[in-house]
Amino acid sequence: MDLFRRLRRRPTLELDDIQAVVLRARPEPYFGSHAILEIGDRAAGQEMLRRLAPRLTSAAGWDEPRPSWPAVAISYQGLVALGVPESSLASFPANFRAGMAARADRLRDTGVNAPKNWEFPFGTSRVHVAVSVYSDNEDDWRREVAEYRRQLHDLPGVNLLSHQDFGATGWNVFGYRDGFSQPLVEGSGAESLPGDGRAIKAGEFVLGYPSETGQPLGMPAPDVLGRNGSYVVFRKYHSHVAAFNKFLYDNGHTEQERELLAAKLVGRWRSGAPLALAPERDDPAIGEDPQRINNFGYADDPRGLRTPVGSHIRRMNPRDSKLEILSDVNIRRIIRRSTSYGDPLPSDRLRDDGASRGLDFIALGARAVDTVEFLQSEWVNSGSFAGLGKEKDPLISRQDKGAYFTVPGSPPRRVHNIQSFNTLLGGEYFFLPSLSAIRWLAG
Amino acid sequence: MSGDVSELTGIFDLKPNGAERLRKFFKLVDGNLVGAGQVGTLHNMRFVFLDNDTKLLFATAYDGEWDAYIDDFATKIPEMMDYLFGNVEGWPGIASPEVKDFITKYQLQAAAWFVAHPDITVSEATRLKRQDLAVQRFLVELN
Repeated sequence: MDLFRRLRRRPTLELDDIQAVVLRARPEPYFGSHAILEIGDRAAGQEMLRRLAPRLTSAAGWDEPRPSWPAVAISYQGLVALGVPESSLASFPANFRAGMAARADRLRDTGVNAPKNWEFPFGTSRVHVAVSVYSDNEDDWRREVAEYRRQLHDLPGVNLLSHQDFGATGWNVFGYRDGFSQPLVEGSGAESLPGDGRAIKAGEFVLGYPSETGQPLGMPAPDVLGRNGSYVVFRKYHSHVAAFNKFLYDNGHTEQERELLAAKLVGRWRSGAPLALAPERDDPAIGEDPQRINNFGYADDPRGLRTPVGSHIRRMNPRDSKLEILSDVNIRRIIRRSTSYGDPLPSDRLRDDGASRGLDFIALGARAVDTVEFLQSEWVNSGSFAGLGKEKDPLISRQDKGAYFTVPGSPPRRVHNIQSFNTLLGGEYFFLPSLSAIRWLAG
Repeated sequence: MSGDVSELTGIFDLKPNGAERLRKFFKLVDGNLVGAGQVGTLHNMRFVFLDNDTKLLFATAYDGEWDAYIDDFATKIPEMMDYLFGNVEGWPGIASPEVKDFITKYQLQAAAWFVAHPDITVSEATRLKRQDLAVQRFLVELN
């Protein structure tokens, strides 16, 4: 399916200075890799950026097909390792400077999700640079990754700490189509699709432009470093698909019952068709139609009889739902560039096969760090904002013992023993510099 | 923070005539900041003038972390926030990137405090009241 927007208006953003990943959608199917690098010494780190700079792709022509494009993002520790002056370092927000592991309390990353249980190198101060390659075909992906390796192999001051491949058809390991709901960014020139609502101010996603407050958000200094940059939150999850399947089998006798319960948890059927438009059964035609897949709201469903108020997509993007707490949904939007890794597990497999599979949650935005902290504490691991008490997000929260999920109805159905279907393996906060900032950082 | 409920206390220097302006405003609303109910996380809030109207003591109890919804205030109720706190010396404006640091700077640590129901957020209290109403109606209809 072609779910991607077209460039319809003249962009007002400085697209040729913004990294491609900000506006370039993840293709279907997609291939790629995420590498985490450590900068051992400053000179080597700067040399690495000098070598990467000519290979970087800007967001200009973001709707034109391209075989592959990279993204380069730098953590606070990475900026320190690059020798960024103290006055610049101090101009970054406190939570970004602290790093994701230090923010575990705020992110509700406790228990199995706590940083002490993370995969190396996450949670250490050695995560400096993330280089990702996105590609629409396998050959170009492998060629591009080989080229990066060639560029970096003779730089002894730069260490490759981890390399993770990803790739999928557009359906994640749970068997759901994903990644197709994106905010409409003002000034990007993107067409509006039905259900988008109004365009969100560019400054919510790219630093240096007016945000939803009317003013630009705080930006790192100097201007050449901050302007046209953004932030990236990376969180790698292992997905317990067998546990999810078993939960459906424990609570549904027929395929139809199980799929309906699954849709109630997510808010969409596996095809992507939303319950709001297809309340009784899946309608794959809607899932294939960019004009319809997001063309809905919740104002006519205050009790969640179609789309449960606590379902995953209604929590993550409440649209026009009436909330219990004064919230501005337009400042909680993120550009999503998440990637799936590992093979999906079919829905009839109830035993964990021990395979590595899951999702790299990747959120971009000028306040992505604040937003993900907000989402984790308010919309994922709490029910207060929607009047749901202690209920949590059915897909990505860490569920307590005895947790349940309520399917609204007359009478409502309380489904017991919901498990944590995703475990956090690690993550980090990164700054996504503009192309001119990369050159500035390279010295 | 006690369970889900937190407290915040701060003493701020008032601008010249700041207390007078705030008093007029409070009189206008009859000392009742009912509009703050829409925030949905505020249990209570009080404003007290100190030292011959030169200082403002602000104390509140609310759900969760104090800064979780500051950004929402900046886009949803900026006029209200700036009207109230614009009378305070050095207030950078609710939409300013400096606002969190400003509040932190004037925050006073409570030596002790008590919450009767630390697990009941404002939203949870609303839900329980709604549920109680339904139970009461049911009992009335039953008899």
